[in-house]
Amino acid sequence: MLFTTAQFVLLFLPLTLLGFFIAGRSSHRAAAAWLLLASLFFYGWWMPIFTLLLLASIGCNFAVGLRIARAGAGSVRARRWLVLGIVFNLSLLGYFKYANFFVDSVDALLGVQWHIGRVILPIGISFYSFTQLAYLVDTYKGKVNEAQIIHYGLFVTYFPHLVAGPVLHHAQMMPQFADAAIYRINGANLAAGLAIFALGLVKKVVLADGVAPYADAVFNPVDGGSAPDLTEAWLGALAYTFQLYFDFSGYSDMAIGLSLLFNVRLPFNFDSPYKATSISDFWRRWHISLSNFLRDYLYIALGGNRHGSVRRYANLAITMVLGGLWHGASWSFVIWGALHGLYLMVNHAFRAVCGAALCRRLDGSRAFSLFGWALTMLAVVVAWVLFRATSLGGAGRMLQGMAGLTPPTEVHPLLWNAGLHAGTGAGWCAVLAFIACLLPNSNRIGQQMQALAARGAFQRGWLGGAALTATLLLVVLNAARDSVSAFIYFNF
Amino acid sequence: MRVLSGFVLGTLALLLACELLLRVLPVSGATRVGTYVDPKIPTFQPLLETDYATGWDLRNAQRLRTNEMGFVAERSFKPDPNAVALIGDSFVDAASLVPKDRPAQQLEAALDGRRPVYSMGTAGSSLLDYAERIRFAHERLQIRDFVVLIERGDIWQAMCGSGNVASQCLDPASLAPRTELQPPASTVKRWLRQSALARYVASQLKLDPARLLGTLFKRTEPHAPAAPGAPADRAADGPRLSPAAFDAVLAAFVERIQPFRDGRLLLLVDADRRALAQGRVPADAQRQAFMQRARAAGLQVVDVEPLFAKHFASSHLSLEIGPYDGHPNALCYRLFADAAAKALAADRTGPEVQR
Repeated sequence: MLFTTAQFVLLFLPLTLLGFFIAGRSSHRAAAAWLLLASLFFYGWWMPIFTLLLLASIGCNFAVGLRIARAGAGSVRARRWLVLGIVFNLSLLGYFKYANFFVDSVDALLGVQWHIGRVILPIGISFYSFTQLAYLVDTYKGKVNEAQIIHYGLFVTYFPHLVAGPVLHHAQMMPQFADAAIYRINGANLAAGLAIFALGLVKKVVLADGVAPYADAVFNPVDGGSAPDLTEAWLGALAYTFQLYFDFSGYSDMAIGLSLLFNVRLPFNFDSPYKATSISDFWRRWHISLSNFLRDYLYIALGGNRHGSVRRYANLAITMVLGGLWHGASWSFVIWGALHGLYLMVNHAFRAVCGAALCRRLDGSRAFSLFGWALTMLAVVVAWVLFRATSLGGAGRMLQGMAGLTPPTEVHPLLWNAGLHAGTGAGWCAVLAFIACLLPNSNRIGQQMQALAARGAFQRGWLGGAALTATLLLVVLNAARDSVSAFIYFNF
Repeated sequence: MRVLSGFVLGTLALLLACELLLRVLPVSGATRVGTYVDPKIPTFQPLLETDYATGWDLRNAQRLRTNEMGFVAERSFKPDPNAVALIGDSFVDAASLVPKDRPAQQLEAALDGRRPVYSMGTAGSSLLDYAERIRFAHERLQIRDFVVLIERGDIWQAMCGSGNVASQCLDPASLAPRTELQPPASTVKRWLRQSALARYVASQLKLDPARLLGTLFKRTEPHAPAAPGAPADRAADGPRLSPAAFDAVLAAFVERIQPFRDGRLLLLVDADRRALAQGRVPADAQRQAFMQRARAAGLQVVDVEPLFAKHFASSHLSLEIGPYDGHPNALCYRLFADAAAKALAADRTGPEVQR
């Protein structure tokens, strides 16, 4: 089910809220169970069969987690159970996400014809697998110990984050589920949550979906073999740059807002990434929960920066390549990750060469910050081309176009055939760039809304009325369109 | 109580903010259609300036102007036997295009500016409405030469109740001609038209409560394909008429225009551009039959299908506004205009163009 649809906003959400708070008056356990069931229904709406896979994954991980906890943190037996759990999760992910990629690559490399059929990717598998991997590792380290299957199931399936994150830590969620206060209606949270949800809806339904046709109009034919001219290539790349940000950060805002309706706080997943002045800064601001996961469970596990600069750069590269592969099973994602790994290595090497004193002076310079911002944006936009293109050939043609290596055309044929105008597309990009780079981000606005809602009954009512009206208008807008636009990160 | 008053004020504040925002944006404006110049010819308000845009994201926004007769045209209509009347529906209005790309301007350019072209299009009209406009142009503007842009849906849309009738249609039961004017808008509707938000919901989103309710219980896959074809195509691929109804429409049209045929009258017949772009040969028996019967009735028919096929043999450029709108684009109108100019310039007794 999509957050943007009428069935979610008008049916699923009110019924789930109602059931949760009614059940919560008599039994917290019943309320949590209700939310778990609702989350499973939410997940199974498109493909009910994959709910069984999700339940199997939850059951196995919970059982392994119990074994690890019983064996004692850090013990040899616990380590064996941990390895088993990791193998189980990676096998699941490996089969459903990477089997076709692996077989296709072997076929291409060895010139053989293996066939395993097309394996359908269960929605959200990367997110719930990573969430549970982190849980197992944290249990092994003695940081968590969960004995309630309902709370554990809810932590994994909790519908605001289930299919596209944020990737949650057990420790962030379980204390909240154990808190009696979340089972009581909180007017301020209802009003602020709805307002944050509406803000996310605007980002997705208006901004991301508004600029998406300009990205699709270029990338789709280019993947089919067409060559874009300079204008088309840059417009397509920039349009996708903003589409992806507003789509995914819109989703994250909606998740945060929805969760707040249930009095559960989710962590921020974005912090104005397009304001970043270096690539390291970018990765501190983009998809924060995944970046943290990769840092905590991969980069540090590989040794981080503890074994000298060469190992540090190698660990960075490995982490980013695997981070790229996490997004999707294709060579373009691998290269995208490798490219970001390279960017990070260059960034760290530059700072190492400059030394701490010069770095401090440069960081204080507005001109250098502006230069850093421009260079970071250029690097990010170029890398997004690999992220969006469905083939390496398509990505190559896009990059050629952006480099001005494609002959200019009198009309822009790719845009012409899509019925779009370069000027209008540039206008969209300019407006979105202004919002993304110069305005306060939705985290800040959300906090202000929460502060407003906490001020008094009138303010709560005011915010709730405005948010509900905005939500309904946006749902109507979304329903009036011909096709259902899913979130980009649902593919991962 | 404080919560409730806050809630109401918050709702009103949001609606007001939307209204103000949409007033700045080019939401399609309120157009009052009426019989300002002739009892059988509904047109827009004369000398109206309004915005026009397509879809929720206000694509192809244009500023439209109507002349003193209420037609979307860049020039005034004065009696002039040298003028050419270009008649049709929204294909002639071409509201999504800048004025220089619209068919009347392109035809004028194709005629080297020697003859003024009067753009007499009315969205949502069909073949029998065109006949009335031919009569009007002949009687009031002394026009002798007409170019009628026939889109593929024009024949079945001439039946009363098709939803594309401005005033003249055939009764589906008796096949007798009938005048069916749109009833005037109710007071509430007229009042709501003043609101940009109401116009946005009604005209840009085309809100259909039944459809919205239908989506509540329908499991839709993400990225499900859009409904087949763009709006103009859906209109074209309408119901097939019975042979009797088909004959009656054509007969009514020929009979109505007969007294006004003392000059040139070209029927420029559109083709299935989408099929041709995909390399398919369009199969539209009713279109072929229409052209055959029109020729038999002595009308000059220009079939643009061979022109489109020739275009697609050497170019991948689309001839439609976009995948979201099947109306012709500027390039398509250039092909139309060149064909019409060539036919108008040809000797009347000479061979028919693109037969």
